[in-house]
Amino acid sequence: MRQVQTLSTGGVLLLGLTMMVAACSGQPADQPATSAGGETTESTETGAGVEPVTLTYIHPHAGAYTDAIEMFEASHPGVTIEEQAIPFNEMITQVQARLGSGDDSLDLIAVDPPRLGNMVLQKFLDPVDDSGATAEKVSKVGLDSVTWEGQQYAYPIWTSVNFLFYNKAALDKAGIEYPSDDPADRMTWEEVVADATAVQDAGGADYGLGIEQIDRYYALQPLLMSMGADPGLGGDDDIEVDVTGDKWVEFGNWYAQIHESGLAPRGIDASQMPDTFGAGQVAYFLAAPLRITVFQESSVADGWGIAPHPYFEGGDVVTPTDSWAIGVSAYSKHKELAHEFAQFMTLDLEGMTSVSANLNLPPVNQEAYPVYLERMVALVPDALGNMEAIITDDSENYAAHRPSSVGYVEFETAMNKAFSDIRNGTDVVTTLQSTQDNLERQLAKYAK
Amino acid sequence: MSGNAAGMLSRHGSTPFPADKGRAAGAPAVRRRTRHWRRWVTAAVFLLPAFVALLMLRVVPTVEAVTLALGDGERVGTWENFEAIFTDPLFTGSLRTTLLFGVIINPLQIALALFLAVVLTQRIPLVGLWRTLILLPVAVPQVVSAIVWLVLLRPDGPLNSFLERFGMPSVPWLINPRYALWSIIIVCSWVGVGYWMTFLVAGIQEIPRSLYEAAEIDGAGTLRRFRHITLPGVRRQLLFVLVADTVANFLVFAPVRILTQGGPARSTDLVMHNIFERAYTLGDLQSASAATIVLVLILLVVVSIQFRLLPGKE
Repeated sequence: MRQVQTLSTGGVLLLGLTMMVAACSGQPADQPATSAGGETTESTETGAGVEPVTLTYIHPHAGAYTDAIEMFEASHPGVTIEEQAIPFNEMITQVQARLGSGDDSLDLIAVDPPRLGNMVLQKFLDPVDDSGATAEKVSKVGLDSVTWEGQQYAYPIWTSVNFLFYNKAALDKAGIEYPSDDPADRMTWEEVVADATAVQDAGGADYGLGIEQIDRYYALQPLLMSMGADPGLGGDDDIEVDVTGDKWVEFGNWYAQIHESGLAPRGIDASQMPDTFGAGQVAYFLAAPLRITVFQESSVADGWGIAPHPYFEGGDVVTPTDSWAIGVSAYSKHKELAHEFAQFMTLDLEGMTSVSANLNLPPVNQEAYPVYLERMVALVPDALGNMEAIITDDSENYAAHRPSSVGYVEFETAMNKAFSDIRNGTDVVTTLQSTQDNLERQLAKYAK
Repeated sequence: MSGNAAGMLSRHGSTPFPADKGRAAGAPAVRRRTRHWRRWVTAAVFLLPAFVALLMLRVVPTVEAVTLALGDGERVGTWENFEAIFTDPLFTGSLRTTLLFGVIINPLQIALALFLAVVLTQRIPLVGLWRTLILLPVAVPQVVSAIVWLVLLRPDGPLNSFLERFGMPSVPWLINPRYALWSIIIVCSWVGVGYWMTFLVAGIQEIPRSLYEAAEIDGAGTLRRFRHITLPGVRRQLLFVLVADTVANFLVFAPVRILTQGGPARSTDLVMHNIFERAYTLGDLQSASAATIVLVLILLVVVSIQFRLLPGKE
């Protein structure tokens, strides 16, 4: 009996100690260890002398990297890339929560360039030192988007443009002529609203107009600036907020009006918007090209076209730019390998081509860009014949970067809420004023 | 857990500690000390997992939160984070919204749960089926049910289509500040009412039937039987439901995050969502920790008042 008791005591003691060690200690890189959820960080020498390593990559682009990962794993025996693909908003909060607590289970992170400064400030990202390899391969605009105070902190993957997609059947029903795909012949927003209203009135679509990234500053900044407003965040120290000017109010009223009239839908968030165009519910749809292949598999396949990003009459043409980059976590235990994977995805022609084939944004890799264009045009030649001219014109002449500021996270969070409130009917002036007040209070900490 | 472990020890061992002490009288002192020591080690080993879990999951986070909230006294003043949140209209507004939410949802859920519990302890056909159906939403993960509600409550969603079909106007469930908090209350109650009902059903079933029969013979009507038999009989369960429901509703997060993100116009910015946003969207762990401590203190006060107002003892 005593022996049994002694044995069980020893067993429980061992179990308790194991639990305590597992809970209390980090896993040294040179010790075999396995954690829950498959996030293994083993580095045991195998018979073949290969060290099995798992890199974890968190991003919001489900399906985009599958082929690139397969290629990388094939050329790096023993290396496994574990993807954690989650929606944009949740990814942002997860990265903040996990890296904020020094979590070393993340190796690679999708980085939204305007948030880069804040991530650098929090020491989340491992600086890039690739001896100019990125500068050699990618566009200057792409490189600038991941550079903070002269240091590169991530590898840019794509740039972005927005097209005005239109549903041919809906326009036909109202007898509206298709818009031109010539960048020299852009529609004004006034024309778009008039035509969209006509299509809706004729029963061509439930909604005349839709914006893919609805309520998000990324999509609305070009409209604001085209109307004559400043970006809203800037000044000498890049943390001065001004979102209450006449032009902001004017834009707010326009944005409220298109939703109040029912021309554009209320209550549908950005994640659900692409489905509305794919289901034929929307006549004109301002969106990035990333879902072209998805549209081709939807009910509007081969029944859509594109036009360049519209502008407000009498205002400047302003278009969105920048897109995601991939960064290496400062807490990663496999930084060197993580950098290698990031470079494969962005600088290697094969890797980058496969990524842009799955998520159809234009790559900033200058070798991969022509391949991307060729593939896209071949996919839908009728609609995308003039795609290259639009992208070139937008990115070279009219692209407006989002503000580069340590306070961008607070700014974007507050603006997205403000746009959502205005869209849903709250008073424009009151909403912008309270947003201004809140942002001034939140950003004051950076002025210290 | 520690209580269970102690209980196991006293049953498992041949003697509990005090008696053992008496029996060991006269034995060699060394042998007695060894046995004594071994039993303490056994107790410690059984308690260790619970102790470690308690330490890592409760004590360490609490100490961390307090440390973060209080500031270092040099770079960040000791009470600076608390000053910051109490001068921030977003936080004070969030507290007001949470209190309003609590004042509405707690009585509503408890009244509905009690009503259903009373109805479903009567002799009605298929009573088990009705209880199961009402409890079923508890089995659906909160995130999944919130996503389903998100579609249901869209301006062009099925619920408004249903209303319009019967000639009623569509309701801006999630996009109008006047309706959004009610929508969150509906979603939370859809899950909560069935759950709390289960405890009350168990309580009512413990009340002897003879009491009802006697009251009926004495001519007591349904309302009097409810007031004088059911309510006193179910008081202990009611206290538990009141306290647990209040705490749960102070901590509502997933439906807000998924359905409204605190909007429109901050009308659904319950305090847990406000704290989450501070910590994980804006990366301000200091003010989030201060807000968490404020929330815990408020909860302690509210729960203490509830215990005083509705004593569970006979």
